[in-house]
Amino acid sequence: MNELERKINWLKEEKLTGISFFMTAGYPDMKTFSDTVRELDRRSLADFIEVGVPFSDPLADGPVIQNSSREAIKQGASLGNIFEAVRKIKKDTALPMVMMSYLNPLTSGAGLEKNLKCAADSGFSAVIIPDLPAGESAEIEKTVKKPGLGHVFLAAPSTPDERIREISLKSSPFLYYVSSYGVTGARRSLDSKLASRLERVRKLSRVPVYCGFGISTPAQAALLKKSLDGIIIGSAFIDKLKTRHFKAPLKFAISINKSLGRM
Amino acid sequence: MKNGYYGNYGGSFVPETLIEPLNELIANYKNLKKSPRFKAELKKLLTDFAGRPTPLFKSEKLSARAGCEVYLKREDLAHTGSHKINNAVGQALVARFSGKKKIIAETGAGQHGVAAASAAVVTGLKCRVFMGEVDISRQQENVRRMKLLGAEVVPVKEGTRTLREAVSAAIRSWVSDPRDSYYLLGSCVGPHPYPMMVRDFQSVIGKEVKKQLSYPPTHLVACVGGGSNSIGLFHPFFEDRNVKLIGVEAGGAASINNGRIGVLHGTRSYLLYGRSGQIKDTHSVAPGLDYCGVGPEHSYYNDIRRADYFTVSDGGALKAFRWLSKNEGVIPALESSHAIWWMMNNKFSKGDRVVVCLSGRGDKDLSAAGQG
Repeated sequence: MNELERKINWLKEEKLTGISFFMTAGYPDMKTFSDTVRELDRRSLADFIEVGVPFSDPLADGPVIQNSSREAIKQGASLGNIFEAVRKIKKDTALPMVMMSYLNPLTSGAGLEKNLKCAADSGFSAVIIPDLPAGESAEIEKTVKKPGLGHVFLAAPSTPDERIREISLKSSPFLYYVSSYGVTGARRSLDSKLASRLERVRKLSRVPVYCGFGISTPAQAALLKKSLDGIIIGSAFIDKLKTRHFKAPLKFAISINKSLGRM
Repeated sequence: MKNGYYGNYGGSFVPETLIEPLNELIANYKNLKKSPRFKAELKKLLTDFAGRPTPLFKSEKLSARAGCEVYLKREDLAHTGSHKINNAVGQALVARFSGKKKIIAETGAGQHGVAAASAAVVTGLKCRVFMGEVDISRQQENVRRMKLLGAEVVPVKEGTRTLREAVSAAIRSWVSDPRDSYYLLGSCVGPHPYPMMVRDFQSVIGKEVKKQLSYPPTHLVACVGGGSNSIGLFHPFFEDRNVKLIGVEAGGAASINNGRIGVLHGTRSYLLYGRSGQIKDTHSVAPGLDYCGVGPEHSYYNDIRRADYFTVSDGGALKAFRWLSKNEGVIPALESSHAIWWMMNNKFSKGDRVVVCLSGRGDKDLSAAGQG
């Protein structure tokens, strides 16, 4: 069992709502990125961090993450220096890390198998590949498991019950539920039926259910608290990093922690 | 071979939200393909609306130059001015038979956008076309045509603001509303079943050529961007190994010649990207070839050596553009001009019968070719 799995299980046992923030690696620059992760860890404001490998053509992402990705690429972010940054962060923090990458950056350069081994070596516990739906490639799924990485799959509002069950059997250590139709980023409002859908997904899933896409305020988080095992916030958090300092994102993280009864 | 794969290529590398809509589309399309009503309506539209069959024109000038028989498959004479209408009409019917109310499409130069907009009108659907801002400013005429046809043209302001971003924007819009909207993809790229479906609807090109020639051709030549006119010409001849298949890529956007295997826009195929996996910007004077990837079936044809792929530069295409206009009275699209230039610069034997796909007309290209 790796440290992410332990963390997820512990949260479940303690009946705590898990909190994760998604950050584009290297945005606004590698130092601010690393500093922010360290501060989140130091103040216990997150249970794990989802680290996004920037890609030029992120199909599942809205404008905020598209822009942060473009900015990070412009500054030279690549798998190599992301692994390097994470290795350094992991030396003095206990925060588990999940890598989010589209297939093309993940399979290029040294190739999928070596890249995944480097990811595990540098301290990542699991990967999320948004353009690899469950069942599309048994070969890639096998390659992810090889270095002991967890593989988190997504389920969406369009996913039929039977498939949700199947995906949850593959997904480890949690299932990532996409809150609504559409790409990442804030929505005017969340679907009124989201809470009841989440409860259904939780019954179907063999692993804890974390929800993301479009959750942007403490009030939204509080509304969903009883219906999920954890939340993942991306665009709303990254938006605060525009200031190029960790102060604003930390303030936001505190408000989320408060709204979920974690502070 | 696994469903939706051509050798190692193809697949459905899309966000989970699209898996169910794609499965529905696969099932609907499978049924429609066998439905007599669907087939009858498609045939009627292709004949009466799109103007098929298109002629196969023996070019005396090209024949004399090459010392063999050279034919032009006149897709430029199809409604809206290119082969794009074959697929647009086919998929718009699929959308209507599947109960969808609106279609989403992407467009580069605007050829597919215009075809989709006009197919939407005739099938009674609403149409929304995503187009890069850069393309909008250099293809004003087609933007006006789409608007006149009642389509909403959405400017794409992200990234390169060209076809690649327009495809991404269209897919993102589809992810937001997969229940009511139908994504009418314009080339044989994207996730399964698109490469197969687009190829099926474009195969009318090759099937007509088969009927129009009294003897089988020896060479089929067509330009390849995403590769829909070429796959439509090639596919009906796939089993006939005596027919040489030749695809011509733009020098500045040659995915098969200069790319490596990668994944973009839902499919695994040859793709142009840098060391860290970031997609490269492409450049071609022909907007329809200005794309970083290629249909997965072409990648497969390349690997099994069923087809050969070459490149032609902007300069060559422009020369062919002028040559054909002056010598045959036909202004070819700059895309098709790539295929013509390759043909004009290669040796053939006396008994050869070469068919070049003239995928579209060149009226749209006058200013790009410096003739405006």
